[in-house]
Amino acid sequence: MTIEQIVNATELTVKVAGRLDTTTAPELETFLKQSIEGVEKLILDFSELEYLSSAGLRILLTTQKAMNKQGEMIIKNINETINEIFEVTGFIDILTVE
Amino acid sequence: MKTKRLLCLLLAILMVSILLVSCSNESQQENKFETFEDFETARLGILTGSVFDKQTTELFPNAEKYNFDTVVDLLSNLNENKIDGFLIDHAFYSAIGWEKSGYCAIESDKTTPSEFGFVTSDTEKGNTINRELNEFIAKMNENGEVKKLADKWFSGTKPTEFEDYQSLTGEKGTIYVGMTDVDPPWSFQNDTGLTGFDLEYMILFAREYGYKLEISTVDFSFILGGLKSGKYDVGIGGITITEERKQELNFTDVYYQSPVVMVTKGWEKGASRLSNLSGKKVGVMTGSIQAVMMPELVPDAEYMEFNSVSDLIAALGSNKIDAFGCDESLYTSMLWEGQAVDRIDEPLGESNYGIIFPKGKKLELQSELNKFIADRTADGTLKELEDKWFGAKEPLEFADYENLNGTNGTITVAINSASMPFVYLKNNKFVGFDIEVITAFAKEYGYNVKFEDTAFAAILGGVQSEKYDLGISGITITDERKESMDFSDVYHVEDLAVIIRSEEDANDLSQFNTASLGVVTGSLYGGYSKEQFPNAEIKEFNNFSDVLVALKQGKVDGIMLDKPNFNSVAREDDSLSCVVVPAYSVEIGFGFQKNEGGDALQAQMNTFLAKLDADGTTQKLIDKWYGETEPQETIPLEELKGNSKTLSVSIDTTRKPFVYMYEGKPVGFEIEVLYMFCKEYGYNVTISDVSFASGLAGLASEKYDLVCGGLYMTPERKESVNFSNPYMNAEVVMAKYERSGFLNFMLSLQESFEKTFIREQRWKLIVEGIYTTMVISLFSVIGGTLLGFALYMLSRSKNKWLSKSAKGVAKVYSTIIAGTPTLVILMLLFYVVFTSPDMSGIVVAIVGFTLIFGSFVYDTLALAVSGVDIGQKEAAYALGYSRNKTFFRIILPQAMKMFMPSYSAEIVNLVKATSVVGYIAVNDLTKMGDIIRGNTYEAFFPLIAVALIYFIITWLITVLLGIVKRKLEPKRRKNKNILKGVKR
Amino acid sequence: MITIRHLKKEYANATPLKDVNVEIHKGDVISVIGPSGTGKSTLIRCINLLETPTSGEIFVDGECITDKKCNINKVRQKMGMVFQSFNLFNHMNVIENIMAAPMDLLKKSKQEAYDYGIELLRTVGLADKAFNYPDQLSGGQKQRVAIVRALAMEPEIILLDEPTSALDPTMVGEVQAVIRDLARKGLTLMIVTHEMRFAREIANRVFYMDEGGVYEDGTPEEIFDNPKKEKTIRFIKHLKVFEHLITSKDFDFIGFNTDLEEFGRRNQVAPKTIYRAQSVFEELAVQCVLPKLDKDFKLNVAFEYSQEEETLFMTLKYDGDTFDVRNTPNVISFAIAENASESIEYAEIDEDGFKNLVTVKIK
Repeated sequence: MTIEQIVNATELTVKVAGRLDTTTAPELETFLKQSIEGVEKLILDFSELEYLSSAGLRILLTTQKAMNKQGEMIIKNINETINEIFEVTGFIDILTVE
Repeated sequence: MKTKRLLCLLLAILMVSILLVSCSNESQQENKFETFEDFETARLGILTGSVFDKQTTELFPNAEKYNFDTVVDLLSNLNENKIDGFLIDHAFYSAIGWEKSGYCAIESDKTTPSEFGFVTSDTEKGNTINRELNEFIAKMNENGEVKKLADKWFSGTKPTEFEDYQSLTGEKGTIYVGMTDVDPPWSFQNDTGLTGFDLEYMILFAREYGYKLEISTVDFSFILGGLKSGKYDVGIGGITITEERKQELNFTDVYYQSPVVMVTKGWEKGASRLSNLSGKKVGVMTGSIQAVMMPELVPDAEYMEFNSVSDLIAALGSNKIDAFGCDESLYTSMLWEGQAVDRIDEPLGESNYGIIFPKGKKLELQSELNKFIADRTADGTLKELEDKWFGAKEPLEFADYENLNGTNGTITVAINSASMPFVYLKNNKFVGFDIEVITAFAKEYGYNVKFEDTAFAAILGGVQSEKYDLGISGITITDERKESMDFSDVYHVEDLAVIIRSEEDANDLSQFNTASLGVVTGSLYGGYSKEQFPNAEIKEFNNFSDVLVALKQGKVDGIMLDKPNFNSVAREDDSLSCVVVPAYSVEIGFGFQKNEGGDALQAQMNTFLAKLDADGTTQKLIDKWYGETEPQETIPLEELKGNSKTLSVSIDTTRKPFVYMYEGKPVGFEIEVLYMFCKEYGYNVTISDVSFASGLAGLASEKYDLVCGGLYMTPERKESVNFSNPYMNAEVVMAKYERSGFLNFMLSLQESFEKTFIREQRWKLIVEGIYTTMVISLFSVIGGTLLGFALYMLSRSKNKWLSKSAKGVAKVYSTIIAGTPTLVILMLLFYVVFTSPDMSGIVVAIVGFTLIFGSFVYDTLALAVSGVDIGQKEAAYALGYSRNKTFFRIILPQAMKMFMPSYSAEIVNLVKATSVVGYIAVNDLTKMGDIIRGNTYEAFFPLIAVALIYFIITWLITVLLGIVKRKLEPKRRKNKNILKGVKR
Repeated sequence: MITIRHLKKEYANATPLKDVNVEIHKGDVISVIGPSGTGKSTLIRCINLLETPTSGEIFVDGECITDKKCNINKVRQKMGMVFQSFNLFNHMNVIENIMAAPMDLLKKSKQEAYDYGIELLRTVGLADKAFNYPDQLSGGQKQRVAIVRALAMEPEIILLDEPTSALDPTMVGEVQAVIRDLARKGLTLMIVTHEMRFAREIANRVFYMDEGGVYEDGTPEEIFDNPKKEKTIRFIKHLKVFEHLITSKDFDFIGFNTDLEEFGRRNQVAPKTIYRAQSVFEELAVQCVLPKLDKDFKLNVAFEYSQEEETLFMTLKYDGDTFDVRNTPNVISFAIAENASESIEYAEIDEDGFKNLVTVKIK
């Protein structure tokens, strides 16, 4: 999994590529915890995310909760399978997906 | 088709080997200057300002002359082939030889000797000394002292003792001597001081007359000046007396005269010196006394060791060595065989010969033999045998060792049949000095003799290990040998000889020693030929033309005739050449009746001949008629219109160039002389053309007054014929025909063939050798195959213990065989394992090769079988074949495919490998070739012949095995044969 | 006719036959099938003792052939064998190959051997090749000759060890025809083969060899259509299996995924299916089950893929307390897993220490 970030004042775009699973989730978690300080708009670009498991979902949840306090979090460019996962787990309602 | 190709290959190999041999033979020819005449158009060096300048120009007007300042320059240019030679006085030449070798001097009576004198000053003292010197010189010449001194100084070896002029204690006075110190051998500086011939002469003089000598060494020019000024009383230094010098200087009488010689490159003729060998390659036989003595005599030569005499001779012939040391008797026997070799004529030492016994054993036999030697030496029998066997001619009678009928048992004697003239083979029997000694001994002491022919080294080894009772074959007693074996007392002593290649090859008479010579029956030359060449084959012919034809066709190698005859025959044929036979010459003259009338005529002719001699006409006529070109003129005998009587003259017109026919008329030296004679004395002539034999008969019957025809004035004839004075003393020469290179080569090949195979039925030896080689090979192959197979089958045994041990044995056995050289295996078996004397070499050889071949068969069989696909075995088992049936029916036939090629190749290798059995006393093909080589001294032909025979044998074996292989090929079987007895 | 009891064959580094017990009756045509290395060839090679059994007994017509005293050559003469690599005798032509053993071993006369041989050759259509040499024949022809060679000995049983495996597909048919013929004639045959259709067609019994013995034995219908035991099923169904035993919570997850991907790729599983398999595994096994297990646990994951039906199953077997994964509190994970599966089933089992069995059919 690779993480790319683009900072634009208070807007942070994080591009996650590869697999987000039990082994890689902790890394993203750590990263996000450190990076969202002062961020008002967090954009998660999942255009190159191949795989998402429940471990990843949990991180999205905690991050969403945190961003709700300081701004907003948007998830972009998800593929069909991930969309399915969001729907089946009900996360589609919790997350903001574009 | 395949056979054809193979035959072509064989032929090609034959041609190549012949070419190689001929090339190596030819490379030994060198261009040499050998006689004075050879230098006519040569490049000659001249010492500037010396007396030789004039002489060289006079004697060699057509030569190219090069001037040099010093003798050193002359020598170095000669060495570098920039000049071909130079004239110098012999004394000086001899001094050159002290330091350098590789030069020789050619003498000629055409040169003017140099005369040497001392020079005295023109003072009273000088004149007194001059007088005294002359007295002394005369005395020295009379009492031969000068000759002694000359021998000391001019013999070619540097003297080792020198007179010391400073030890003179004369009271009469001091002579002041001026001398050069750079003119050996006259006056020069040595590491012991000043010395030289001249100085020693002066010392002797001074001692006699009571003088002391005071020497000053100066340049030659200063000597002369010093003499003039009176500084010196005498001048010495090899000063030649010339007319010019006599004008200016006071010479004593000639104290020494030295012939002038032509110095050129080459070896000294006749007396080759040991010192010539420095830096050259010298061969010796391993373990011989020469191997010890030669390095002591010539320490700075390069020594190479060889195993046998024939190897030494071959090495000499192929230029691998320049000389070798051996015993005198070998040299003699080489001459018997017509080998072109020479001997260095210097005392080298002696070798003592003894008979060997196992150390500390056979003591009774030893003492009997020693007693025999003592007794026979005392009564001269031994000397008689020596004279017989070490003389110039090969003996014709031999001892019979086979019918001794001894009652005291049999002694086994180890010999080596390549040891001429001690032991060698003649017509398949052992002959030689040693054979005779042993046979005589055996006869006297009631023994039978069994000779065992083996390699020389094997004699020593075999006697040491008590395989034989004693060994003999010209074995020299050395200290080293004494340590491991006992020697009898000395039974023969010989001088050592050092053999070199003959220096005169093309012009040497020795080439005719064993040749076949043609003679006209009853002619003078029949007797001369037999006398000069006792070992040659004489073939008789009816007349001269037949002999000449035989020479040209190669049926004879040479004919003896007089030189004028030769010249006339050689005019027409360039391929004829001649070698002078110095032992003979013939006087030629005219024959007259032995009566009063004949006497008168004879006297007239003698007067006339004397006149012709005096005014030089004889010489002119000789040059005309006996020269290189035939005169193209006729003699006008018919013009004689004498008024005196008519002489009846018989002429033999077959006697060219004395008398012969030209354009239908008689011509020739004698005819011209006859013409002139008749003209002078007014005779007419009637000519009768008859043979000179008839002419001589006609003299007796008074039919003829005068006989012409190149008559030889032999003592026998002189009894019945009146001869004029000889008008010519003709040389006698041997004529030979130089055939074309190829033809010559083919003929020498034929001669070699004849020597190797035909003479003394040596082909029988070859056949025996082939037989032995085949026997050993065949039995070894069969034995080895059985052994290998048996061992393999054991290793396959179901019995684990048996198969494991068989495999173990095989492994050890294979490793030993693979790691030990064949020869070593054979020698171990022969000398260590099978020491019983009854164990013949052939049996040991068969055992050895069986072991070797067996190991190979085992390994190859194992490999071939393992190469068969395992599926074959499984299929056979699955069908119910037992282990053994499977092996023999299914596996082995298929393994043969891989086995046969290696097997055939190894059989061929075996045949070749048997060539070493000579070392364990087996006379196989190779050994026989060696024996023939040793007996004929033919270096190359026997070897090539043996090689070819091996090649043919192995080729035949390969062909045979190929047929077998093809027969075994399963696919070649015919279907109807496979299914014999089956109805389809 | 042939009884095999507790046959064991052990090599230095493998034991292909652990314990074989079978009976072969006269007239049986037995196909021996199974994955490679399961001792099929070893078994029939033990029967004619080309391989020597480590232990056990074989009786042929009442005679114990594994006994040391037994004359194995005579026994072998009653059994014929046909090899994968033909093994015709290269130094003999065809008719000689056939005549050799009868003449050498049965002591038949040349004429007799020839007559019978030629007749047999005719029946396989190779009479005109009687005088050819093996290297002049095609593979199929060689094998037919090999069969005739075996027949010439009039054996009681013919053992065929993968008779068509080395043949060009074009020649397989001609050899199968000959074997079929033999079966029809009522000969006792035992054939090791990979040709499933052929094996099914001619046999009256099928041995499925696995786990060091005859794993399952039955009629062709039973074995091929209704295999009962797990491995038989897997084999028959050409199931491809990816199995892994996890015993530590720190197992190599990434490696497992990579291997799973590789397995999928190798067996041409649809990429989406692989994805889903990974997802199901992660959610159910890693997220749901694993946390529930004690320190010393066993978790067996197996993926079975049927190429024919293109279905992928995942089975999880785990020990510990009985835990129905469907009741997991981890709803998120389960939801994802459920989404990726067609069915998730749970059963309690007692097998090799495993207590729980989860079977998932992946979408």
